[in-house]
Amino acid sequence: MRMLLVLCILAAQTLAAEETTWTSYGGGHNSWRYSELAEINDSNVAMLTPQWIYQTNAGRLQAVPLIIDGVMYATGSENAAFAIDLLTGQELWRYSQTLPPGTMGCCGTPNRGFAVSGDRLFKVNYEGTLVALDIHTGDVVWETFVADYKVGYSLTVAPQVVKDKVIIGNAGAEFGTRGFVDAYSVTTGERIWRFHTTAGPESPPEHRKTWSGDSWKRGGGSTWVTGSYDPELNLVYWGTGNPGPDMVGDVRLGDNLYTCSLVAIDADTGKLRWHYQFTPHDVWDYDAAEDLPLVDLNINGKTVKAVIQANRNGLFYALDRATGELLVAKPYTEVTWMTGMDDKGRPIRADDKAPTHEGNVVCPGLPGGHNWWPTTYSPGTGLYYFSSRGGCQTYFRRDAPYVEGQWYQLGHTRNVPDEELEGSVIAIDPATGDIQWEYKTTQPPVGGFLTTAGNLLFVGDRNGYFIAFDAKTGKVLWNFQTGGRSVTAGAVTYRFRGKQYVAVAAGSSIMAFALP
Amino acid sequence: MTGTGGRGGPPLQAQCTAWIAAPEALEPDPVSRGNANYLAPLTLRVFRSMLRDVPKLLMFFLFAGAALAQNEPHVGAEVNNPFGNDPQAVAAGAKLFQAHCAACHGTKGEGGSGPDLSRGIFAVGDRDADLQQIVTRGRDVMPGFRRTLEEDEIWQVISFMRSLAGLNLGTVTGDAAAGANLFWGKGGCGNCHRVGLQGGGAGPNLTQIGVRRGVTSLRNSIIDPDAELPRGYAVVTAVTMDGKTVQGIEIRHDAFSAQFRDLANNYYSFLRSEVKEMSRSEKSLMPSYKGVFSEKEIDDLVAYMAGLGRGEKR
Repeated sequence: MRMLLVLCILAAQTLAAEETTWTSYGGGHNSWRYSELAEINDSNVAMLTPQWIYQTNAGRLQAVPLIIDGVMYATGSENAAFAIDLLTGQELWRYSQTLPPGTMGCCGTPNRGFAVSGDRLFKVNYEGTLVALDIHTGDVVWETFVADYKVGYSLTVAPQVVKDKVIIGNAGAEFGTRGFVDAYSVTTGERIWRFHTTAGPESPPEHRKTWSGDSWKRGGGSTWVTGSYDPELNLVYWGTGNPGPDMVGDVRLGDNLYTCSLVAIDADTGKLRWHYQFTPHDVWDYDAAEDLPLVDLNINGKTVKAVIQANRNGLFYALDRATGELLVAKPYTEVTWMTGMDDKGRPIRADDKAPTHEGNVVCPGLPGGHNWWPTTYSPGTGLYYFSSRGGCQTYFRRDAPYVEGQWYQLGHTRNVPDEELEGSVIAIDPATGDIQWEYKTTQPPVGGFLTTAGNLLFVGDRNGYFIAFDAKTGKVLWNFQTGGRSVTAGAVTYRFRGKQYVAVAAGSSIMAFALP
Repeated sequence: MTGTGGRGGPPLQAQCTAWIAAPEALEPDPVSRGNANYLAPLTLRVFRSMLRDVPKLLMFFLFAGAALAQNEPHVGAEVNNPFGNDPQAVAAGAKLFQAHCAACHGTKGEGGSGPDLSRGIFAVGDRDADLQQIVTRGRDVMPGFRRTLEEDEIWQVISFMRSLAGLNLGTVTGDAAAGANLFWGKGGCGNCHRVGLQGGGAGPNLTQIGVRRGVTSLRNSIIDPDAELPRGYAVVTAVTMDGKTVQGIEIRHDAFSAQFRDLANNYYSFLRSEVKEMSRSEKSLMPSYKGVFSEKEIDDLVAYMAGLGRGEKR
């Protein structure tokens, strides 16, 4: 009888596994971008072949596609979104909303994808709204105002669904805006809570005091990459961006909490549980918006529930995700803005590294180190994989008053002449911060990161290549020229009709691969 | 630098329709943006802030039509009908209306598959310029007439439309409240149709149906759903190799494959080569309710549907 039951369960599992899903930006609350699928593996990946290509005509894509019941859902630039048939790659419906004139931003109008709850998809629109779409038709179910594009806010993030809430963050720190993490009702679109990422009147006084005068009002701290969630602790983890103005610190003296930080927020109330600031009083644009995988680490023989990040400031970090205690902080590239950590886990700043009118060389440069580029953690290898841009930059400051709705970076950077631009794929042991292997490229690989139980690491680079590595050793096993200028989004994998696929957005197209 | 990822995509202007190719809509250089004023002209800015800050006003315009945003660049343009209510122009416009408009808007302008034009309020905005824009360029399923009619003829049609104002030819006799009860209660309409946040399923979204269709058309759609099958609701039937028949609403249908979803919103995608048969028909999956609902119930339902979209945010 028991045997029969086991067989029934096994049969049910096999049936259920006939098709698998991919339902969030990070491939789950833990942001691993890892799949147990292993039909495509290190022994056969060399035969991987494109099955279809869908041309979105919607700018350069940064979206992680979602896979649900035979359909792929993805978003593009300029508020576009689409549903695509998994069998043929054909468009099933398309959503678009014309951008109003006068939106502002640094870098085009990208969008990093959908979140889903039941039969509703959620996406942000660039001009500052959050929309819920009917998953079957693409019809708008509700649309909610989030933030005003006229003062410099824009929205690019893939939302995060936590229980009955849609959680999002903002972009626009370069325009003197004030960052936030917001939660909205999946049912009605009403806002349930907002957590401000610059400490203001509603924050504890000791946090508020980390800003001179009223500089917190224009203090930046954008939250433009999707966070993680720990259901047991009921905490959402979001990384915050640079303070504003980016390269002039004199007008915002103090640490400038909670910019360049990791904030752990109660998912029900939006209240701050703990924070850790990676770069106090940043003047180098070292956003901490990067991915925040939740990983249980073995440190000194003890298992610690950790949250990890390859930060833009050049260091890899691991923190206790219940308390915020610093566990690991180690450079993965050349770092000159700091010289080490003090006893309290606070970086010791190097002297004379602030941007100047004449220019000051600092490492890493403005793009990082690592940037927002999607990352992956494999429980199979126990390694964390991310990309890094090597080299330094010269930082210049510029002095100007704040004007509402105008560019407020107050500085710029230049590459160092004669310094060769390089990038690398880094595989790091998250319990120690030690680099296990590194693969050098001519440009930083900026997307496509995904690991599978087939001992594979997928990576997309800035020359348009989609590459499969042996996840253990870093050996290149397969590559494909996508024809896109770069592969900038995270890749996904799924089983459809009993066959494993890998899909990725490259340039303005989405392509699906499988074994012949 | 936030929201980054490198300079994104091709220039906006390559993908924008002509009306939005105003300088402020173009993608700026990220550095020079800081020095320039990227806000829209003052009139437009004021108008936009009115839209944002006065929800009632917004709702009015939304009720009046989702295409409002598309007309914004014309806000402030003072284009008026040169014929006004000139009787000769009205007569000429009436003839043109019969030839080009009656099929969708009804022979008297009372509405059909297109909106009722005799209420004196228009989904696209009430000014001459708004009407000229929609007749000239079209919208959604309505074609533009700029290659069919001369400019003067378009104004004559508008003179005729203006002459209908307030006639309310599409008046309903039913009880909208009773219709709502039927719709959400024993009629079961909400199982397949969505109105705002309520209802759902496979059928057309009816949130705005009252401003998109005339009452005759609404009535027809209940008693004879095949008569004016809305675009996108054809039916695909596939017979699988093991003889099972699967049927649903068409999403795509081509030489090699078909994609469709059934009334429970299950999604199907088949290659022609892997099924025994595949066919497409324009017969609606919605049954006729003639004889199922009483005449009064149908009147009530029409009254309810005719009111949908008036003042409701989408």
